[in-house]
Amino acid sequence: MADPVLRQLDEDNLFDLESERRVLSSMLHAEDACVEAYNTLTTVDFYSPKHGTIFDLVCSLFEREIRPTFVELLKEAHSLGLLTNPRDIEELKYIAEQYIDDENIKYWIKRVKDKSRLRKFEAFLRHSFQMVLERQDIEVEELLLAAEEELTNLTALEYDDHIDSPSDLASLGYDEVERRFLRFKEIKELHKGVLPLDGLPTGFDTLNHITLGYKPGDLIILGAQTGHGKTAFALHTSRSVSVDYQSTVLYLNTEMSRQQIALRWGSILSGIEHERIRSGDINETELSIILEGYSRLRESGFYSYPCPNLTPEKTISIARKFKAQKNIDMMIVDYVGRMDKIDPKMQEWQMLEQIVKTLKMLAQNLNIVVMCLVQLNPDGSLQGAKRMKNESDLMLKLTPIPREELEENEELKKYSNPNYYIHIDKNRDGRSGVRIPITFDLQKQIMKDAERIAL
Amino acid sequence: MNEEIRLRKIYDETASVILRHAVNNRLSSEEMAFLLNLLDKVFDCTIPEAFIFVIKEFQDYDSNEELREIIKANILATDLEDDQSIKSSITEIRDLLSAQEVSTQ
Repeated sequence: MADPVLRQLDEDNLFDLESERRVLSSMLHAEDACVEAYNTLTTVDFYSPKHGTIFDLVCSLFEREIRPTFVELLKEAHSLGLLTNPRDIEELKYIAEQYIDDENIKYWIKRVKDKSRLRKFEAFLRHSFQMVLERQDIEVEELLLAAEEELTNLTALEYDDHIDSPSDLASLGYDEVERRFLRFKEIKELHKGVLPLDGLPTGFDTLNHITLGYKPGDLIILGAQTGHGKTAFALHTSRSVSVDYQSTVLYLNTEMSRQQIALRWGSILSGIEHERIRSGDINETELSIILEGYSRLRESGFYSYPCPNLTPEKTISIARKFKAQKNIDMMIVDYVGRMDKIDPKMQEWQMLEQIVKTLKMLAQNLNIVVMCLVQLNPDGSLQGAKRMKNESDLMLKLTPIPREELEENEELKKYSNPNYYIHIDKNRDGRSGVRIPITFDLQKQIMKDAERIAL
Repeated sequence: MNEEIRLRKIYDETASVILRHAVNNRLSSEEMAFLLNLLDKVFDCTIPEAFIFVIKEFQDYDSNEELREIIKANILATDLEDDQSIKSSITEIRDLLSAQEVSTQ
């Protein structure tokens, strides 16, 4: 009796070819749409196998950084022998012409995703119905519990959620302890007691020691007052991660031009004063040192994206694109105070809170380190600090060491030329409330741990 | 229909025509790839007008078969990503066309 009902469902309600065509078409016409669909849908979300194949082709082009236009799609399909008759071409053209307003992409993606979930639900119903029909001897309790679990997976756990069973958690715990046990052994035997990092290097030995590096999924907030080294800190971190450690960093800058960023690197990698490089007041030996520095940058994993009109939404889109295409390990946003508000009625602290939440979500979803730079008030405080602190895994403040403290603090006298503190305000995985003295050479834009004077 | 959609339609239609010819073996793979690349460049406005103009001149020209093949090979060999290659193609094709003009006078 129920069979005709299920057949009816199959025919009328389980797919929406128009939405599938519109999503594919917008992927061919707008990069943002492509990023959104790439990150939200999978091949099996498309009911039509042909649409699934086209989605695969577009994603493959996108991953290879080829703008997936209609022409590129045709070339790709042709080269793979997928277009063998004029009817295939007409079909592709028909899909490409399902134009939508780019802003509506989320609506059409949701329709495709919803139909896909509905098909999974229908398969669940069929499967359950079959069980009832065929297995007369089944335990009702067992059947209902199994159905409930499957249904829960279909609803609450559809996207990113994951529930650990007792056995999952035990395995995870065992693996972690074993990994740490082996690492500790390695430290004792190979590294002579120096802790190897768990994540990306911070660029400072003391900070490495306390944090064990920046870990994937971490949101790091660095606050400093205007003119007190936010960009220098960001580029110092970039150097450490992308030049020295050869990992991949995406650097979003809302203030500086391409030329300014490029010139800063000249200083950082050569150790020659920034002002002299900017004015061209250098000799031939220095020029060759600077060129050697740039050749190290050329081999690095540093990607720069100057973006004066950055919004939280644009940040998500750019981060997803670079994760897909360059497999970035870290993203640095320099700095959030310059990001555009989506809603002009928003208060400054509300906007900062929204941005920081977005960045934390990005770090976790893309499994990358996200560092965002914020501006401290003249008194060293931070607007909306409590809310920001809640979201962050590591909150650092970069502050100049007052002259009186330099003269009076006996501990500081054990260091040569300390002039700034990195203050660890919050550290989810370790000690906080620590101040690390560093030396910041403003002229050369170089930062390093303050060296201890040998006694 | 707004201008953007009209342009997209022209782009999609042109690309389809090129591919249809390739599928029907009226264009070689090399010719197809060149025309599709050229189409992208024209729509991105990143190709010098002089190059388009010289291709038009070539199309209108009633030259002998051998010369047509030479010019065609020259066009197909142009690297559309390289400004220098485009410039030298324009010069060479113009030279070939004017040589033909002189010989027919």
